[in-house]
Amino acid sequence: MNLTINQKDFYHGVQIVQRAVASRSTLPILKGIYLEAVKDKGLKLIANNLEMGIEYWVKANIIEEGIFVLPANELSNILRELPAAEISFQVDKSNYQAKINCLNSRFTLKGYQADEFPQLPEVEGALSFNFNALTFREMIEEVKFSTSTDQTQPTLTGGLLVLSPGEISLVATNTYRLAYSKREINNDLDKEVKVILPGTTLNELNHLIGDEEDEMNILLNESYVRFTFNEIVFISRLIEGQFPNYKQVIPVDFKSSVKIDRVEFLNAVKRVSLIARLDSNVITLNVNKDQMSISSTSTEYGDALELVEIELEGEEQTINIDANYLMDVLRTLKSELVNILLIGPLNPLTIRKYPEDNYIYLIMPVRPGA
Amino acid sequence: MALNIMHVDMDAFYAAVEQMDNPELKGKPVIVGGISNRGVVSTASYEARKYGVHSAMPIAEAKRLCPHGIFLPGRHERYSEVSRQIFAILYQYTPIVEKVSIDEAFLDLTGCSRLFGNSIQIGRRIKADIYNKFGLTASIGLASNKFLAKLASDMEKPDGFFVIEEKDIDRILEPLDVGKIWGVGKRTAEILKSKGIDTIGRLKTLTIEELETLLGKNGVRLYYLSRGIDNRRVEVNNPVKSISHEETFAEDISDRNLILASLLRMSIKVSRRLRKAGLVGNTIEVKIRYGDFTTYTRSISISVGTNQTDIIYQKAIYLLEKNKLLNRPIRLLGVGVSNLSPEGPEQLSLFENNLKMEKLAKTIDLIRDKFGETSVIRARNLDDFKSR
Repeated sequence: MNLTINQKDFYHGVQIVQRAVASRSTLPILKGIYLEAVKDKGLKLIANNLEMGIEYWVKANIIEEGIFVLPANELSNILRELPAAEISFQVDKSNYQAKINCLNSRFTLKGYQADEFPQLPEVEGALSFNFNALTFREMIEEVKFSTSTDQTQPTLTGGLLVLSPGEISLVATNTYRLAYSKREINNDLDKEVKVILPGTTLNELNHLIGDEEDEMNILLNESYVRFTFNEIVFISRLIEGQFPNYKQVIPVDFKSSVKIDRVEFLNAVKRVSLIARLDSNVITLNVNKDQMSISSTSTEYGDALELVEIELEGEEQTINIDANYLMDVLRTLKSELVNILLIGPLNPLTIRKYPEDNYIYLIMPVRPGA
Repeated sequence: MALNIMHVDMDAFYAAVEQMDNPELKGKPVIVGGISNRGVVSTASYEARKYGVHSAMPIAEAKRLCPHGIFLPGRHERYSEVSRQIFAILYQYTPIVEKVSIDEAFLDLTGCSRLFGNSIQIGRRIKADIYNKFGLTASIGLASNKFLAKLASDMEKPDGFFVIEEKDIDRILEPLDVGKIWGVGKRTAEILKSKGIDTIGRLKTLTIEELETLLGKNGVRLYYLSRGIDNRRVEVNNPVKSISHEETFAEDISDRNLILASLLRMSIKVSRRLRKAGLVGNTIEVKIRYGDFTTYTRSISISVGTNQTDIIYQKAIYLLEKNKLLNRPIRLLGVGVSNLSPEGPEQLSLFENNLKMEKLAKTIDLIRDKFGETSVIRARNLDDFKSR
């Protein structure tokens, strides 16, 4: 393998695929990046930790084709520090070394035999559809904070992707709160398809989808999902298992509906949580006429009370909830107003964007100690 | 410095209680800890210790060393009952009693002299009270702090009474093995001995910096302890830190159903004790011991504290499976809950009706309180119940 490549391009490409490099692995080669030089196409980079993999093409002037694997960390560190100039990159297959030369810098880096590197799996028998990448990122942002960290329930550590005729949605829950984000989509489905995307996959996608992307292709089968966008191919294993029946717990009838300014609400909750977090992190919301009171009492430290103006339709309500669950959603949403829907003190509290109707967030209340 | 800290340590407590309840056992080697060959010795009477039997030794080995010994299964309720009465004696002298275990306590006697005489007189009286009431002997140590008091109680065991006065600290400490220092386990002792430091006297030749380099924070502690300095207070509130149960099987088992039945049985006991104490725990732990005595413990933290049988049971199964602990026959299985806090406000779940689950658990508790532990049992434990 022999090629010349721009330092910036090379480093950028390595940074993209590096997110799928195994951090700890019994297979040392998985800590590496697979490089493939193809004439007239450029340099292909692949990282694959067997849970997820990323493939990315970098433009390069290929003098001689070839394949090789280099340790990701070391390669990335070297590329980062090299000057912004053209790099000459050669692989000496006889002793498994890459020569990386750039202006006055000379590096040799030992690598691995490339044919042992696990290629990205084919996603066969797949369902294929296109969707706006930025919208998808927005959906990820709206739900990913609700995933569970409890490794004993693997399905809850991911997000459920649901495709149904004309609709795409993403759901995440840790059983105490639930986030549901839904958008319209053009598809020719006649039934519902559900898969669970790992939490890390949601995080990496959120990170990799830039601000300028438009169309993204998504390929799905029972085991894998493949996203193609902006020349990045991102493949992830799916989480097997049963996701809880989220539809069943989303309430449809409410006793009270509140409209409230999101930022004002968030700031008030943040202040009350200064007291709440000293104890069990529980705050009490009371809605009455045109006012919401947000309060918390700690027997040891003191108490806090905030009043926020609201528009209330329906009954007066009081409910106790975990302040963090509320702050998470208020920080994430971007709408000016939010709609809070209540049933009773032991029923879930529902939050929606106002006036849009593509998002539902549920918080289960806390029952005061006996 | 005043000799205000007392350490009271009952001598061979379980064995002594057995000898007290059954005078025929007096003067004989009594070994408490199970009658099968599977368990370990919890207490050996001093007569049995002469043969080299000591606590934590496998019963089988104890039988080899002391074949004519009297092996008893242990009656923990009885020991607890006697223990409570002994503590009642201690509380007559001071409210500042730190219970270290069923048969061991620290007392802070500061300010008691006007009522009961000086601490040496109090110590004599406590020993006499315990002996007169039960015929049991205690070893008592008196000093200016907990570390020295505990050392002192060990100096003339059994039936000891030893005082370490300020002026004698160096003379007494220096010849002692470093392993006698509180908190010096096998590993620390090995590190020290590899450097030729076998006695507390030798240890004192090291500077605080040298000790810190060698042993980190613990080294700093040893620097002070070796000079008889210990600022720990006698802690009155010694709240429960964890609740656990373990079972040693009659033979090593690998049958998954038997293991799960045992795990469930213990999860029920643990959760029941948590509920009785009004506690929830955020860490669940399993313990496994194999035939060769290698022992593993694995734990997991959960975000919402629990005292529910099924959550404890499910997480314990997860720990066993994730860590592949069931791939060979096991000798002992344990499950425990720690990181405890009082039952507080309860986070409700979207998918499970915790109110209902909780009501169910409380009802079953009530039935068991009234009609006995086997009045309501899980289907998984049916076999196990029938065979008893």
